Amino acid sequence: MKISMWYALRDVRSRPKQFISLATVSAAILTVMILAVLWEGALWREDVMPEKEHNYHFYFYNLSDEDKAYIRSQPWVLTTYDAYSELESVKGTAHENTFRVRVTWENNAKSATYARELFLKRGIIENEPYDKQYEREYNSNYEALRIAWNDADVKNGMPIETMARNLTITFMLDKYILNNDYTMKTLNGYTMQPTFLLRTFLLMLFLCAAILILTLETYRANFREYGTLRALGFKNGQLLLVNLCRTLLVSAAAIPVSALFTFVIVRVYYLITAPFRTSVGSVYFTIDETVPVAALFLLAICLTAASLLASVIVFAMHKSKTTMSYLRGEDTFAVSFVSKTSPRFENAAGVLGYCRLYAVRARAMLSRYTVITAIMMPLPMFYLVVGVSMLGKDDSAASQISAIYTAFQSVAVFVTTLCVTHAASRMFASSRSAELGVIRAIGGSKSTVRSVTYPIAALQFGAVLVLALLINGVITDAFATNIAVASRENAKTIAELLASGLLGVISAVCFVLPSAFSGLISFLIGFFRRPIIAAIREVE
Amino acid sequence: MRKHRSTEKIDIPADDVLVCRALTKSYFQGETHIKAVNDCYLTVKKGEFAAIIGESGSGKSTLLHMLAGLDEPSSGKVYLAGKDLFDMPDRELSDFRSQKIGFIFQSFHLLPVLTAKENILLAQKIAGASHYPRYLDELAKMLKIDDRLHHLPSEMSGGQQQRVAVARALINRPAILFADEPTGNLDEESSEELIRLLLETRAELSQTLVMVTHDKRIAERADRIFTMKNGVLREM
Repeated sequence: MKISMWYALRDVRSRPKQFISLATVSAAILTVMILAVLWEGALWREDVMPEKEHNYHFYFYNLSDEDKAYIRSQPWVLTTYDAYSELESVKGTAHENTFRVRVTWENNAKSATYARELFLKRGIIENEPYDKQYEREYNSNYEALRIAWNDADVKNGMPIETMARNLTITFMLDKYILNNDYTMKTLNGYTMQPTFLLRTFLLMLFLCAAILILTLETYRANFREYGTLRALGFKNGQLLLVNLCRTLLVSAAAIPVSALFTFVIVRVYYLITAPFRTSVGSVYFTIDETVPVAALFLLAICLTAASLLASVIVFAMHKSKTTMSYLRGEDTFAVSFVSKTSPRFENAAGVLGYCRLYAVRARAMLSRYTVITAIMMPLPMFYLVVGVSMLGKDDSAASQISAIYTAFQSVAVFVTTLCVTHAASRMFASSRSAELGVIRAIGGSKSTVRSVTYPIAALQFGAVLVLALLINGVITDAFATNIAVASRENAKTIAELLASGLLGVISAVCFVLPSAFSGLISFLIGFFRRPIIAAIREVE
Repeated sequence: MRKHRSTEKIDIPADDVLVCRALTKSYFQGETHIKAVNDCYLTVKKGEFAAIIGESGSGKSTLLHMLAGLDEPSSGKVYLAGKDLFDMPDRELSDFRSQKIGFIFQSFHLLPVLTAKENILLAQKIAGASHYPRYLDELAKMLKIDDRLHHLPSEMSGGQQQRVAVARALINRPAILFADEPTGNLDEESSEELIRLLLETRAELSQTLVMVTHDKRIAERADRIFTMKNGVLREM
């Protein structure tokens, strides 16, 4: 244990660049998680916002005209309606002469106080009517309310009049008015829940993939070191401990960085969304202005646990490797080929030809990179498509703000994706350092080096593009169908489908292109700056 | 994956520190079946110096890796100090390697994140000794790396790295020392000094030394010389 920790600390000390980049990628993942939580919170809030039917409305029945006028004059009343839109007024029932009042959003607690004053002044509670034929319905509704609120004032068998009165008072004064679970669950739940679950599932899948990929690539990059440690007598368990310690250190460093990232993103978001205010001066689709510290730490624990689990999984995948296969460093290209006597290495053309076949020789690495990127790309693409579709939905401020937030989420997820795929593609490119160094040593120019590296990046781009489009198509289709069925919307027209498909292709190109080349280009910049011999020795 | 091995036991004289029987390592390159090491038999007694010579690609290093338990053979057995290396569980083999075996790699394999001193002391830490060995200072002086102990491998020349690797292999005073071309990166004078050091250590500790080398002059100083050609081992 002690020796593993010692080694992990030395590793961090000696490779600050690698540590910082790993911590940054982890922080990016954590930031996406925090933003996702804020985003979901905002969605819930949007769902209970005053523009939606049934929310923050008080219902009164059989009020006198004098009472109605009094209510209309109250400052906390936004709008009033004389009839309930879906239920016809039925004479002699609870639905007779329905009077609906929408309260202002800014200060619900204040509205509740006003409401109580109103009730007391006008004596509305004492005069509330009910009809026996609705008793059963009321009972079931109130029972649902009772369960939701866990309200001790409402009990089974209580006379409906008392129950109604108690509930009215409770509803007005209770804290639940601020975020009414009852409303959310029963009225909007059928549209929210499937999409919420699907989106959360996708996001979690994406984040798990990101963490696993990151851990796997880091592990692979250290193969030779692990081989040396094994040769010196390190046990498998000690190697695992080294990895776990390193993961813990990276996660610990990622927490403050992600807090900073989130703070900055939220500030920028507020700056951008400031002009989008509703007519009553409130912003109801918004993320929390202050990042919840508890959520941050909870998610940080989740990230750390996921990273540790990923370390264990990656370790288990390689547990049976022999010491020599670690020492040889899987997937790395040994410069020793130059000393081989094969005629293909007798001249520069032979070496170049051999290097051009790198993609064929490194099939495993290429396909791994393709899968990594293809798994990670559809999510930012999906967010972008959803964001753009929101923009055209309607002119309300809520839609605009919602679209901006989706764009934010798209960028955050994309940056995370780019960090991970950049790391993967850079490792892929770095593994050719010795080979490319030899090409330079035998007289190859910079353009020669590019000529044997760019085609492979282009190949990666093509492969990822096709896969990402396929995955994104399946996700978007499933998501759209889900929403359409849940909200009973009409199917999309062919033109809409084509536009959506075109947007998918454009976003795929925009997202996949940088990831395919970023690692290679950043590697080549460093490669051309270093002495050739350093490249051959693979010293970065 | 660790292959299932036969449990057949053979009687090994106590004096035979290293014994290998019918050792074979083969793999496929495309559709071609290549035998890197082909049915090798070898016995080295305690305190002996055995040199293995041969052309590049003849399988010397592969054989040495298997003899030290770093690589698994396709078939055959290796007994070190009377123990069947590939019948041991991983934990036991790791302990055995850290306490009984020293290995000098052709390409050093120093840990890039540790200084020279830390690289050397790591071997000792793994073996379970926590005290600072005076032997480290002696070794460092003898190998002329005493002024480089606080440098990272990337700050040292190939020859210096090689000498650190030698110090690391010797720090635990192993019973058996495997060396894969230990003088490959050294000049003539340094080579001579290193060989002298290895032979002195061997004499002092009754150590068994198995060395792969290209240098015939070094091989000539060995008690026994083996040649390797196309994966086949023969004693000269």
